[in-house]
Amino acid sequence: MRWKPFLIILISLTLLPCSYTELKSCTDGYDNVIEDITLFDVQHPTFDIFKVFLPNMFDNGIFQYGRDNEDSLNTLEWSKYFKNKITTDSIQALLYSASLPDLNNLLLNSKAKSNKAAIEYFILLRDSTTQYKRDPDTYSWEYHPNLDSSQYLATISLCKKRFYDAGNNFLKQRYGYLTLRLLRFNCQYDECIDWYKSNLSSVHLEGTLKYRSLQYYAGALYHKEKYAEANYYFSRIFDEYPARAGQAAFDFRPNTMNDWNATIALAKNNHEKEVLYFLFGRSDPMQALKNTIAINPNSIYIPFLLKRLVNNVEDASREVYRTGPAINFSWYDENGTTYNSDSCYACIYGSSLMGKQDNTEVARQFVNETALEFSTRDKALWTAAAAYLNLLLNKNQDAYTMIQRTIALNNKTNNLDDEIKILQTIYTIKTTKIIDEKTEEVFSEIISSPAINKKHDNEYGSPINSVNAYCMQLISDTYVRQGDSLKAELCSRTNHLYYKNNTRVRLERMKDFLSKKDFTAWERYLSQSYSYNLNDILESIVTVKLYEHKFEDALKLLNKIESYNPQELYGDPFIIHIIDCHDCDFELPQKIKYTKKTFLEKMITLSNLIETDKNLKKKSEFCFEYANGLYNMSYAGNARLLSECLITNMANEDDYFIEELNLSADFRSDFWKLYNDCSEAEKWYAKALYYSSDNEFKAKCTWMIAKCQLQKFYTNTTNPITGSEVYEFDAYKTLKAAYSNTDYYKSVIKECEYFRDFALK
Amino acid sequence: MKFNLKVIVQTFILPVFFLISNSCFNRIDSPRAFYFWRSSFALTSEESKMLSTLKVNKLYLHFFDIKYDENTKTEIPHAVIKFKDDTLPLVEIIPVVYIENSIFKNKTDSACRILASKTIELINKICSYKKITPKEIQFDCDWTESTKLAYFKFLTTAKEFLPQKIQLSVTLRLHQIKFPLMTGIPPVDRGTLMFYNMGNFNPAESDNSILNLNQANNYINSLKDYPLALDIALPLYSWAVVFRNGKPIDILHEFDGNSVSSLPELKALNKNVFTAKTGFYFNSVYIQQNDIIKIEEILSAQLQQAAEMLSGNIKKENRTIIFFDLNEKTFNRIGRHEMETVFNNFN
Repeated sequence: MRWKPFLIILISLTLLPCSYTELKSCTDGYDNVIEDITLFDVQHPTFDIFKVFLPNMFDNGIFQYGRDNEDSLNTLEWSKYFKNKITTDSIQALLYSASLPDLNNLLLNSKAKSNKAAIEYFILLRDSTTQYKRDPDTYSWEYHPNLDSSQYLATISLCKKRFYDAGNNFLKQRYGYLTLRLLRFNCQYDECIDWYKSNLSSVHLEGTLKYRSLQYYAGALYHKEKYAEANYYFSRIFDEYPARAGQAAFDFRPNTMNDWNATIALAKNNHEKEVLYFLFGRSDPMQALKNTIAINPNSIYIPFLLKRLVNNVEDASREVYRTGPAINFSWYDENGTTYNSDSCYACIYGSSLMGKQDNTEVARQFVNETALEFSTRDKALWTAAAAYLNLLLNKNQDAYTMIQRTIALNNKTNNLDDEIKILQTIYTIKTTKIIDEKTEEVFSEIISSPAINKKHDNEYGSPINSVNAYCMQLISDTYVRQGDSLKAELCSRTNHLYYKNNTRVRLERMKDFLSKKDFTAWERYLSQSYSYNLNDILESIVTVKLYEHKFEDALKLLNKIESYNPQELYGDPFIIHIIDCHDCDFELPQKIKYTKKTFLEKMITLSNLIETDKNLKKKSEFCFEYANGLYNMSYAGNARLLSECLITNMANEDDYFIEELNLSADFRSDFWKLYNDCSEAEKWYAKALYYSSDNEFKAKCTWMIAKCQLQKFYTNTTNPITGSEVYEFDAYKTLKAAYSNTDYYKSVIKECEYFRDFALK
Repeated sequence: MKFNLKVIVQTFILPVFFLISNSCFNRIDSPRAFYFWRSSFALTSEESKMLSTLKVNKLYLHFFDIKYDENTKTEIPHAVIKFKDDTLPLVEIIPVVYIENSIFKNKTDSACRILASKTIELINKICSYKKITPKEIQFDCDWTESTKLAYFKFLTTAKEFLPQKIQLSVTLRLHQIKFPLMTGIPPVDRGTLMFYNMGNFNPAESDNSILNLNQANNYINSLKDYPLALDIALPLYSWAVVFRNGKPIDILHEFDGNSVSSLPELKALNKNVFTAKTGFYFNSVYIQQNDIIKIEEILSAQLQQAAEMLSGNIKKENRTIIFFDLNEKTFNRIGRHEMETVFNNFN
């Protein structure tokens, strides 16, 4: 048979997404992985081989991650079997993507005995893979209730038969392996263990099969609660078979200390013990370091374990990870007094027991002591780590000593130039109590250094500049302490809710700063690195003025903004209904599509008309329309888009934190309060009512006043809402008492269930 | 006149007796139920016995979770139920689906619709496989103000996909019941108040994050006014919270007072709070030296207090009392008689 043309067709027919994978968690375990960023991103020759464990190397494909590509290794083994007569692409198609019908066709057309035997194997492999895909553990919107055991059993029998009958050891090994895998997938753990012991040892498994089989065997042992043995084999796979190192490390999971001690006892030599301590070190790096140093101070695992320990302290110290949830946010008043969420933190987690026994300090002391005692080629790494932990835990004097030692030990081999620069920068910032012009000059220089601006990928693969962000956060904290809230905001937006209170005053200050013509080097750096530009700030001022109802001022300023991009409102902001339905408003045909600008113009026009028109009916209608505009621009209305600017986004973020923390409305930002306030609308509905002599119209005004009162209630209350409280707004009572004979009243009764319940009481 | 006693009894006394007995004893007991939350359905003989001796009417069966998957950037079902037992107990089965709240953040209406369709479809597939004809389906999601609209859209659509005779219910937390106008009232037929997980994680001895009646007391008055029909779920479980460097880092689900005695690595700080003298593994979880472990258990007295507190504050009619969850490991702490007493509190 001529393979090549057929295979080309076959591949073209079967270029389906390659979803096949043999890797599957053998122990169904998972692990806590430090997912966040680190500032201690020291490079070390050994790190590359362990990069699956490094915090900033984490990705969701970790279970399929190894240092070598198993598929390629397997393909090479088959290539050898076919005496290099078939391309690797074709072999991969046969192994991973060819469909069963194609393989069957291939078998029909195949003449050479060895090829035929191989294709028979591929068919069985594909068939069993299809069965594996029906595993109920597979996440899918399809429902696969159970493994089809009967089909599995038939395939297992066939595999065993082929194993016994196989004419060559290459295929015999593969059938043996396939049998093992199917037994494992069919949860026949005892049979899986027996099969491995009785049959696979005799065929002298080689290459990838040796470790793939060992992993299924170990997985079955684990399921049979033979943890010590299972974990020992996982450690062997980790050490000897790079393609599955990641998987094996994640499967390694002692159940109790007895299991762990029994696993250590199985180690045949110090090297195997080192590997075991290394895997153990993922849970307890300090203990693992102690054990490893005791048996081999030059172990290649030590730098990694040290890094892991440092990362743990970083994680625990909270200081580095301020981008996290609201449990650590703070804000401050005009005098620079800082209010932080420690009280919130305490209400969630806190207690007097917290912090008394802190592992971070234990780790710091251990690293410092070892850095002094330890004398190996990695001594500089230890002193750098000690310096960093000292800085993290505010032991600045100790940090200084360790930085000096690191400088003395630094050379071309260990190349810690960048780390030294980072440590020195953090030290300088941390020990600066007051920032003055001179300090700012120093900061502008050190913060621009390439070492401080190195980018790292976070867990989502996005490049972030964690060192710079951390340094700027520290500087920001110092500005907060000395009462310079503007510069604190410019340095770092994180967790300092600058615009939360005195919003417009602070926006004006920011505008003045960003409009400056004579920046110092530091100020220029701050203005360029700030998340928002002058236009953003101006638009926010416009928005705040709009919500302060200073429409003319807002319009004047809006007209001055260069490159202002007007957004059209989704609905007409001057219409109103008994029951609000924003989606319905958005779908209604609109003669005029309003923008922030045209809305402001219309509000100014209406205001003038109210002022000048002598006809009371018209005056009343203008008041009503004006009130509609006020109502709709609020959170309750259909024109929320008017509020959108950087301040709104921040208010939304704050609100998210406040909601998560279940805090009271007092924590809300100024802008949130403006945005949710309907009292001005209520005032103008009352004026509309006052000028009107039409009872129907008065009923409508009264109903809208009731809706404003309801909104006020939503905004202010932190008390339990019970039925009676909700329904007894003043305007409800007025509506019922004075306008129950109007058609509008009847419509309200019909449409609004709450009011109906109130009215029928 | 000769009195025929038999006639008198038949004509007057028996009807009066039946009348009295009907009026006095025709009491409709609250339906009794359990949640079953393991992903592989198989009842132990103790669990089956508990269902029958307590005359349990319903089983709220966890069908699957819906979680966001970073790899596919979409939501997918997790922990889909497998049935190890061929037969289901002869009680009403109510499928329950847990949905991560974050899924509803920034979700469009059409995405909610698609999710609802896929969810109902998978529920139907599982029901059809086990020949379950549900009268009710329940969604469990701790929605917040920011996810309210999307979640409610999901619920409305799910309801559209279901036959009218199937009721839709949701789980409710106390704060959702206290602030219905803020958190909204879900567009469903009924709700189940989860009367647990109500406190914060705190290593102080007296606090219990599972059941904190002081905390609950602030909310309890709101129950009567809640516009949805309410069923009540009460906790049976225990757990241990692990604190490291001041933060709660893990929950050990099968850890209770009995576990402590077998662990020499722990030193008692007080009755239910311990510290690790050395690092050790417990059920594959590594506890580091100095970690703090706090055991939180539900005891029958607390459960009884909770039942008393609740029974006076919820509407009487048509409410199911559910224990979370059916697991024989809890039976040592809270036995059949204690459960019976709690159920009876609501009759």
